[in-house]
Amino acid sequence: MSTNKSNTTNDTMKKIKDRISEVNWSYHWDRIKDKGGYIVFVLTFIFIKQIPYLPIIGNLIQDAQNRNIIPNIETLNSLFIHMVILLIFIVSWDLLSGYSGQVSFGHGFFLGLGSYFTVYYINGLTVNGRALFDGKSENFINIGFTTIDLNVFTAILVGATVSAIISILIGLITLRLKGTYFALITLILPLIALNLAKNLWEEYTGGDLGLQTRRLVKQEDKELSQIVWEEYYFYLIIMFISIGIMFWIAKSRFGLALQSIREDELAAKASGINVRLYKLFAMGVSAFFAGIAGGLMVQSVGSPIGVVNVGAFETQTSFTPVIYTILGGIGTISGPIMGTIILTIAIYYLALGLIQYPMIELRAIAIILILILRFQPRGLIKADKQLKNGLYIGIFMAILISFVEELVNLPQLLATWFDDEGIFGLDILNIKGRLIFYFFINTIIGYFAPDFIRWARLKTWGVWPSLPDFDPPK
Amino acid sequence: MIKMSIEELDDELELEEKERVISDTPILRIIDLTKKFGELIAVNKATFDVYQGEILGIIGPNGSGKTTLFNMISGVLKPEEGEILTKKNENIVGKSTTKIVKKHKIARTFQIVRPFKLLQALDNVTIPHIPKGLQSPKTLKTRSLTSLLEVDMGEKKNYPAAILPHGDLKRLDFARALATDAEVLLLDEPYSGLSVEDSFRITQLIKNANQEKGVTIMIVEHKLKLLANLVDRIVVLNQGKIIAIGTPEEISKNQVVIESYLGKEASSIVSS
Repeated sequence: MSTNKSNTTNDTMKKIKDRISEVNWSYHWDRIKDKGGYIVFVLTFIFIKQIPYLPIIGNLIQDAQNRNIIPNIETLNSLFIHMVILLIFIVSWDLLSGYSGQVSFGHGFFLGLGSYFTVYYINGLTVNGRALFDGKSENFINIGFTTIDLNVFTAILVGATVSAIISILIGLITLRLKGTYFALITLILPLIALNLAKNLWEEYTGGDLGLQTRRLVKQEDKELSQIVWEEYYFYLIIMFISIGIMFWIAKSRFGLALQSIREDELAAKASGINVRLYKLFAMGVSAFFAGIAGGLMVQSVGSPIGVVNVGAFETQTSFTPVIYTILGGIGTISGPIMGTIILTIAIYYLALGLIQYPMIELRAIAIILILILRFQPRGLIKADKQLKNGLYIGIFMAILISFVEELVNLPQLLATWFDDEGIFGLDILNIKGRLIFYFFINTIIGYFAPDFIRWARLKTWGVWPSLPDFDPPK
Repeated sequence: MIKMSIEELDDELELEEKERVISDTPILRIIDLTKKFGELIAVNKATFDVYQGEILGIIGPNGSGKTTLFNMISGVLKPEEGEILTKKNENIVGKSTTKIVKKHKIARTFQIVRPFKLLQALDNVTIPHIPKGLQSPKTLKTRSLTSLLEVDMGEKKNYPAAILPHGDLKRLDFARALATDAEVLLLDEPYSGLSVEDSFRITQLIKNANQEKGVTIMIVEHKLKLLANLVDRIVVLNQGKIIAIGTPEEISKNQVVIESYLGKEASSIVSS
């Protein structure tokens, strides 16, 4: 009896061990699928230069570039450099406002501080004839794929640190304020800075014209087309490190503590969280990375010299992260990333498709933002499945139709149906205008199609598939 | 097969009630505590001791200053006069809520539950464990899971607090306060809005915390009935003044207390 029993237990133990040692592929596949968005994001940013030369997709991409559906490689480069720097700035805003709930309407202030102190560190700063600190000479080092000026790189870190220190000093004064009052204080900061920089301290800030400085990447000995890619990849590394750190903070216990402050400050205090310290921490980290974005923004003008001017203190700069993050989804890290990518691309297409009305793309974005706030307040990243599917169908069909439109003479047909002025100002003779048109039509179709198909099926066919009779178990 | 009669099983399962130790040294001494809101005196020279290991009930009609008293002890409000002394004779008046929780080990729950709504139930009880110094992520998770399992919420650990029912939120709030390693627990109306079953579970949790962890507990409650079998002593407040301190039996026979609840005429009928 006892031997029999031990045998059976041994068998079951063996079975259990086999089950454990088996690799659960479906579990791993689910985990990879959950992170699919991140993987595509990272791969696209790394291989953007090589994508037109990939074996299968490459031909399609080149074809699309020839048809002007996708911008050519130089435009892609400038678009992605712009995007990479914006991403650091916008995610840093989300860490402060989305996670700890301290809504800041003046994040451009920290961006501007980062920019200016980067330039001051390189060029030196002279006040009333006395040199506060001297400029730094060139100090090139080779880091494999490119040669960078180490002093300029240090300058970016110094600018970011100054920005963080000043933000903490401001925080010490203002963090007793809550909600709207804190937002109002932060709204005023860049306006004061703009006034001072334009009028009182114009000799130090250069006013609208700005100050000039050296570039981060060595400009001599190479062609411009190569240098811009070297710059892009260096910025990309900085972006991955910055967003990686912010992502880690957001997912770790610090992020949890920040979220608890956002949800209920009194309850967080009653749980032993040092609210003041955590708020200052969030503000410092956020301003540090905004400063890094500011330092990079000095470099990103695409000319042999870097330029900084008072543009960072304009209200528009401070509202950029608010708009981009709300569109993507506030209180997440993937939300602002998605919002930035979508809006940067959308602004590019709208600016070229609505070319008859200059600067109208910002108004179009405003309308999109109002619709998002009304119908999807949690942002696109947590939008309804139906809307997401509609958008996917819209993008896919827009690209598909733009490939095959000439087979059925669609451009000519559209031009005869509508006037030369186009539809709502969309330039129908331009491929970008047609793309936006196709995208809107197909998104609407993609959004309502499932409902319509279900309705039509119920009217005509009935329930499908018809279920067999079901007997309940006795 | 192990054979066991039902009686033996009952004996096995019967929990031995530990002997509760209530020491003579007070863990909290409240001396002449006064709070004014403009002209209104919310708490008027309240003086009483809380002994280590006891369960103390605080009752009184609406607006008698029970919650104000708790707010002053937990550092949310600052009293005009008076002292609150801890075991080590430190005055905690005027110190921040964070410090009172972390250093002086006095935690509280809220009359209206205040969960972190968008966070999951597990994250809700992780937060009090975060400020406890260096610990690995694994330790942190183990500790917070233990806290959650103590209040029977294990199966709901991934639910955001926003969708949990009221009874669960009350227990979550209790778990969060207990997770701060508190020595004194201030429970602000733990029974408000609960069904009979949920009330019973809360009672069990309070008894467990008191007996197994030796936590001193102060409970604010309107209803004397619920406290009668739970607490050792009761403090009765009326219009900011302490009108009686004593065991539940003493309080239920106290003429002044009955008067304060029912009014003079009705109380004379009851006593006659």
